Amino acid sequence: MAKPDKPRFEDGPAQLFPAPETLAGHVVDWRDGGAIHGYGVADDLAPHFAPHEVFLLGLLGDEVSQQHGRAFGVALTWISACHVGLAPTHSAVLARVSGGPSSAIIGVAAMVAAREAEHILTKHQALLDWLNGSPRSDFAGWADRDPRWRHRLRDASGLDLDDLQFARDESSAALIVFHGLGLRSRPQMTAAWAWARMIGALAESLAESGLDIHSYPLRLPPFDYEEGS
Amino acid sequence: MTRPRLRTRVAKTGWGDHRFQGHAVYAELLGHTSTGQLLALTLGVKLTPNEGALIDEMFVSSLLADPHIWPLKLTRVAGAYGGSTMTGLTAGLLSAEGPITGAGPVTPMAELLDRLVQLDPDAALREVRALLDAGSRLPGFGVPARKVDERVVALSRCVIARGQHQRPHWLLWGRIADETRTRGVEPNIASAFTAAALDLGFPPERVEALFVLALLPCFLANAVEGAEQRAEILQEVPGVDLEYRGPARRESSRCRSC
Repeated sequence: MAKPDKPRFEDGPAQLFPAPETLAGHVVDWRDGGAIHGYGVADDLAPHFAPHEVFLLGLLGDEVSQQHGRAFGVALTWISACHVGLAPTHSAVLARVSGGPSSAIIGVAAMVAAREAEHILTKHQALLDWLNGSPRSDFAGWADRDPRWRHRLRDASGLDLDDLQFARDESSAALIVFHGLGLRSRPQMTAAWAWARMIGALAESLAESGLDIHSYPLRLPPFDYEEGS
Repeated sequence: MTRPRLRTRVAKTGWGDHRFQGHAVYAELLGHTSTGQLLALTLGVKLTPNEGALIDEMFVSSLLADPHIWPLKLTRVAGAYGGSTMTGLTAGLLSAEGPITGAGPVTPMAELLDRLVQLDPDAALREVRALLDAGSRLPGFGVPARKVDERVVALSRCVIARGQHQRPHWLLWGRIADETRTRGVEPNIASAFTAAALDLGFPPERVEALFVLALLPCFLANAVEGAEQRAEILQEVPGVDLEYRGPARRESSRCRSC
């Protein structure tokens, strides 16, 4: 006996809406060993660039000088100590304590670090506006400035960045360096921030022993349940 | 030093029974709460059975789960290695925060409706016309690739059938839709859903979460099937279907100098 025909359903917009046939890539070339912005991964980038320099190159679209590469590494490292009390790492540790797989822990760390970056950028909007301004007067966003950040960058990378005189802590210092190296858009800065924060967040959370109800401070902080208006 | 304490209205674990949003889970909610009512209560809103049934219908009306739709396709791609439904589901839900697609338009629409509904109807409409005249795109309006959003048509039927169509936010939304239609712009489900939710008593800032819940079946169905399929074409699209449009091969100055 012949099988009955499967029911046919009329095509809708998903089938009829004009759409390209191919998936386009604009940065990463998969052919001939792979390349980023045209620079071969195996024979050019790998032997001559550190990973954080490749990252900066990827964000900027062109190769970076060794001095700028070093400065980027310094700024990333300034903000890499994302400790267990900070939400990106705390979240990842909770994912680990809750028994999540490594992919979940890493995903949680990345997601919260990126959210933290957006929060930091919003908090520093006055600084970013000033950095993007032209012409610029003296930055008036805060009075407490720490000249050591300028010295630290110069000593570690050789780059003397005038704007760093207005830094007051590692967050503002890192954002000023990112801007000085050409990372101007919020997505670029978010990416750099999140990448750096993953260093501490992953190191801390993956060192946690895993599912253990006794190891995590259940009441830090305590929640007080309320009812009624 | 006194440690800060956080207040919560959500829940407290007990012995034998637990509290949830002001109610005993087993003694009060169990057996007396529909899924629609429970989802509303999740957001702190207590609904009657009839109102809970409208939530059910709002959710069913919102179903549009074709895996070609970008955020739903994302659940498939992100979950293509299998092993977990959560990877695809989480990725899809994160993408639903955009300003145009997913739940992004809901909060701005809720705030707009909540403000305009307090005005004289003619004044509210004048403000809408001024916004449109200025070239503003109202959140939750605009229907790509089709003449109307069938979800709006379906939801409208349900709202009318349950006698909710004379409520203030729905009436206002209808007037706005009449105005945008004269300019060739149809409302989509985000704005219609928002109006219906506001009339049910959801605070404007919580309607977005309700809409995400309504979209959850679309994401979850794709995340489950996608994780089961582990489609190789989504793990890696074949080269013949890819096109590179970036810079040509070049040599870095560091490479040249070595």
